Amino acid sequence: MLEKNNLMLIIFVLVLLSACGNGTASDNSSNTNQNNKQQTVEINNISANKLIDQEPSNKAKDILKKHDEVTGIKGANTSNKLIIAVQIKHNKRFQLSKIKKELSKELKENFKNFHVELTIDKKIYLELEKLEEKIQSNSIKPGKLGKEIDRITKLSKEKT
Amino acid sequence: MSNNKKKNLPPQAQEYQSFQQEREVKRPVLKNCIKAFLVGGSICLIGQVITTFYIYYFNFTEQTAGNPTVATLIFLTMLLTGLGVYDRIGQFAGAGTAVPVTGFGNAVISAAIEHRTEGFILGVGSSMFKVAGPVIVYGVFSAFVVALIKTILIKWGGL
Repeated sequence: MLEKNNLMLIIFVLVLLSACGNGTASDNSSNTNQNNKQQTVEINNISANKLIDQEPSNKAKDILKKHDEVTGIKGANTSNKLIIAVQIKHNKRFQLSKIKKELSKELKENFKNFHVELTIDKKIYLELEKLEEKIQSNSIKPGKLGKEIDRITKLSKEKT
Repeated sequence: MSNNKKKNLPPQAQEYQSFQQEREVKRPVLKNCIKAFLVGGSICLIGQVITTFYIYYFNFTEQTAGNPTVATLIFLTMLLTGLGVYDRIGQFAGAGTAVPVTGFGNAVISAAIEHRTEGFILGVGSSMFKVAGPVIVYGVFSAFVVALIKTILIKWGGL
C-alpha cells in the first residue's frame, strides 16, 4: 500500500514538473514576440568628442542590441582593446555559454583589429558602468583608461 | 519490509504485519516535501543575497563570489547550531536544511558539541568529522573521477 502511494507521489511530482516546464516554455514562445517590441536594452552610447574615441564600443553595442536575449550592454575600448559586458534575459540564462559563444564570435568577426573581450558577468557589467560614467564626464586620462580596462579584463578572467 | 520477505513469515507474523500497517501513522510525505522545498529555498535565497552583496560591495565576480558565500553560510550555520536554533529549523524542515551546504556545517559543529565532554583531542577533535568526514572523502573522490573523465574527454575526445 505504502509502495503504491510512493509510486503515485513520484508520478505526481513528475507530472507536475513536466507540466510546469511545458507551461513556461510555451509562455516564453508566445511572449517573446510581444516582448521584442517593448524590450528596451540598457545602453549608454558615449558621444564622439571624448578624449578617447569610443566609436568601436558604440558600434559593438549597436550590433549586440539586435539580439532579443540581451537586456543591457556596457563597454569601453582603447585603440586596440575592446571589452563588452552584456546582461542576458533571465529565462535565457540556461543557454548562457552558448549565447556567450555566439555573441563573442560575432564581435570578433566585426572587430578584427581589436582584442575583443566579451563577458556576461554582473561584476564586470557594474565596473564598466562606472568606467563609462568616467569617460562620459572626461574624468579619466587615456593612459589610465588602458590600465583600468586591463584591470577589468584580469578580473573577468579570475577563477578563484 | 518488502513483499517477498513477508511471504516467508509465519502466518501469525503476517497477521501482525497487516494489523500494524493499518494502525501505523502515515508519513506526511507531501507535506514534508513542501516544508523542505520552502525552507531549503529560503536558505538558497539567503545564499543568493550574500552572493549579490559580495559582487556589489567587494571585488568578487559572479564566478569567484561563490567561495566567500559558502564560507559565510557555513559560519552562520555554525553560530545557529551553537545557539540551538538550527536544530529546531532542521526538525521542522528535514532535508530542506540538510541538503544545502548549511547541513554540512551543522553536521560538523553538532558532532563537536556532542562529544565535547570526552575532551578536546579524543572527543571534539576525533569525532568532529564523524558525519562530515565521509562527505569530504567521497566529495573529493567523486570530484577527482569527474575531473579525470573531463580531462580524458577534452584531451582525446575533442570536446
